[in-house]
Amino acid sequence: MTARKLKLFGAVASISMLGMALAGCGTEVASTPVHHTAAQDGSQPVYGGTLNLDVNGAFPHLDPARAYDTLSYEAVTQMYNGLVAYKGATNTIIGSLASSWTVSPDGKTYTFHLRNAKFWNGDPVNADSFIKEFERVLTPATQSGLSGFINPFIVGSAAYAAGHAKTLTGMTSLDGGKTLQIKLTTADPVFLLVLAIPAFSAVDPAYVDGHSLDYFDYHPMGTGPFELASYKPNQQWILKKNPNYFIKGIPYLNEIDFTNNNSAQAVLEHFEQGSTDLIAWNQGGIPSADYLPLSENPKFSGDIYKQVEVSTLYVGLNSKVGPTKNLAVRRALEYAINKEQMVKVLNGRAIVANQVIPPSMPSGYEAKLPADATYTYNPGLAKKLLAKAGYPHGFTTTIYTDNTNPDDVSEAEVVQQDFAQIGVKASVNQTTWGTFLNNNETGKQGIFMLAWLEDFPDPSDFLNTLFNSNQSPENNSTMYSNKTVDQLLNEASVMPNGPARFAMYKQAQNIIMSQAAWIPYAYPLFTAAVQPWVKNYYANPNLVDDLQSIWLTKH
Amino acid sequence: MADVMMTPTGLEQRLAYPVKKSQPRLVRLLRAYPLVFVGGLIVAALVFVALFAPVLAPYNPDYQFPNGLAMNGAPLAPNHQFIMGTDDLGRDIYSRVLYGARVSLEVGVFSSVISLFIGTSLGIIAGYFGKWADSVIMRITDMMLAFPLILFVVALVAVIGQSVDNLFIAIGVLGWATTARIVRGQVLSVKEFEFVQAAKALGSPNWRILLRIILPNIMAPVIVLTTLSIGNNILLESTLSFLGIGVAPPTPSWGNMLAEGQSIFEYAPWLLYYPGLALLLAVLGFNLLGDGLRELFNPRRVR
Repeated sequence: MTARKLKLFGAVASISMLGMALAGCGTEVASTPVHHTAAQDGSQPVYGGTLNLDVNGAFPHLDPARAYDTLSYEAVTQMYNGLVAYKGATNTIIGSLASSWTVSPDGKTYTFHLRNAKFWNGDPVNADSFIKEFERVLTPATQSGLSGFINPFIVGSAAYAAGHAKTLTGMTSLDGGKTLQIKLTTADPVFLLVLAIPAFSAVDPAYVDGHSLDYFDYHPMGTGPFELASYKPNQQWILKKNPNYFIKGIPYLNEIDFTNNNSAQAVLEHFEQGSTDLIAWNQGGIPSADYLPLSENPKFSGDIYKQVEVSTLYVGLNSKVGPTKNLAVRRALEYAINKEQMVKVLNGRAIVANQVIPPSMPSGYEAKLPADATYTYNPGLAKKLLAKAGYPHGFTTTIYTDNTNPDDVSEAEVVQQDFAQIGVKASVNQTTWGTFLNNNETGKQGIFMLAWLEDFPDPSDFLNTLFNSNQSPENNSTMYSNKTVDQLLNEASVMPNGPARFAMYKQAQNIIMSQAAWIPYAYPLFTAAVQPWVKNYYANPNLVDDLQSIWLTKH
Repeated sequence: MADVMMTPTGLEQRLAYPVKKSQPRLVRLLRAYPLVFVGGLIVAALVFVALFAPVLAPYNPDYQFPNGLAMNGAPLAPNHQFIMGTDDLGRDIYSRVLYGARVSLEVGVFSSVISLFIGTSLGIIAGYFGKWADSVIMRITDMMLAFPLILFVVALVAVIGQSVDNLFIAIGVLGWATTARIVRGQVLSVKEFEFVQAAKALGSPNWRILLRIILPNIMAPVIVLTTLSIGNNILLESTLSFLGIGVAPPTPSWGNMLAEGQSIFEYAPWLLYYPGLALLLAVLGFNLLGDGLRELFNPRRVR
């Protein structure tokens, strides 16, 4: 997903087509609802209490099909459940509303056995709850940005999305609704990971059909641990515990209060005074301006939780627009950037990046890149290469960035300054996040500051989504296009998981880096501030805050 | 001093009212209006700094020093290398404050001059010709005054683009209303003077009356107003930079330095102190100077 501190997930992400199921080929996976027990310090869960959070803005969407940014996810994750979920802070998939499932030997048919769960209004969860949601995601009128995850991989999805079919033929309800069968066009081991994405949660067909799209966007009906009890538009949202949650024993909290507040100063004060309990994904991590006051203060430095994001911050260099059209120019610019300085500007909450895939990705990160894909900070060399490329006096350009997160503007200014050292005169064009993203997705920005956060832990999520020419211009907004890379990516997507497949991604990344489509500069760290009375908080790199697992002790 | 006087006949006479030996004019004025001189000095210093910033500044204001940030990425407090400290990108604040004077002065002065021209022209037309010209112009002026100036300027800058030139054009073109009002009032009163009636009776053409008679007699308050508005416009530029639509990075302006510094005030207050102080001095200087000019036109002032 396209990421920045107030994040928006990628508009259309493709999944790779692989030969083997992640959980093992053709095996039955039984799982039990997760019971969360003692926290690391050995304390026992305490029931009750209200969690007070400052949110960074109004939730753009509460409809899982339309929610594709980290802010919306903060609410949607607490209110809806899918077939499967991630276990704790790991990448392991366990059953959620599905108690178990089987995968056919050819990897194309998934059969899920559903639990006895109910929506908040008492309606039961069955296969139709999922078929309904998948159909909604595919329907153009819903304007879901996530249809690319299942279209055209589920049989009949393309026809349904185009309006040629009235039903989604690839999904069937069996055993009177207790079993859901999904047929794929080819085998795909990341399919289970895709199912964990909130867009593919269970919705109540009767409720959805009985209300308009916009109504459902602000009046959710889910199975989740928390229900939306009340809200004052743009001011406060109150979630209350679902007493009939299908996982017994949780949630521990009675209530979650989200209050709209995006002033970093106020967020800090509230935390220091103890009136809020957590600064986490509700603020997109600890706001930059608050990080040093917290980390340097011995009273609060122990409250800081850190997690490596599976994410890369980069400067995009457009292959079709501006002087960066020229490969030699792009390669020259790679040597101009002082990445150490850029990481310092982030108060060290990142490590220097040298490639597209971050080291926290389970596979795909290369410990050593080939020589033509390796760049060091060398402004003298950059200037020389630029002259050789035909720009001995540099050139004039614009760096596009958003200003919703002040860090992005700061980093743009560092890049601007680095470019100035080699004769490239750049002006910084800053707009709010929404406007910036809309413009970026046209593929017309010559040089821009952006980031990508994983949708799921597989190199295809980065390489295919961002560099396959069929993903331009929305996701591949650098308009990168290379026939060999396309071939490698498309082939790897139908290969079985294993060294051969990863070798293809490695080759693709090496070409992409040698062609300088991006200047990756940092792999960021997600930081959260957790009050000492909040127990069992963790952040899963694929998710936002999982508030059903935390409890509050007396304070 | 001379309270004893020699009469023509050689007698010494003690005066009832001692005649003070007159001091040099400058000293007289200085003692009467000390603050005006302070204002004048400040403005002169400002102009000097703005003109000679490249010579006065120890470093390039845009340069991000590798050693300009602490280990944890925080800005450096004032030290012997950076006498006003560094900002969040490791740039020298002292150099940026000096260069910031250029932007502030440029925007403040030029926008006031533009407002002066537009406002005076419209005010004269409205006041002198009266009738429908007056009605139309005054209604337009009312509308301009009713609208918050910042909103207008934000909208205009969004259309014409963000640059220092566009900034003072936008402020100048939208800020003429007060000047027009005052000029019109002045013209209305001067119009009734007898020498104006006389000139009209003698058949003097309008343009001559406007140029030779009306204009010189209304300029006093207008000049004062313009000087005072320079201070206002400098503040307006800071507000706009603070809002993010003023001067674009990396060019330093006191306003955008304040904007960058306000979020990390807790652990790096010097980012606010120095540009804030500079802003204070500039506005103070122009206001005091404006006051002084007002006094200059006062017939009862100390001479």
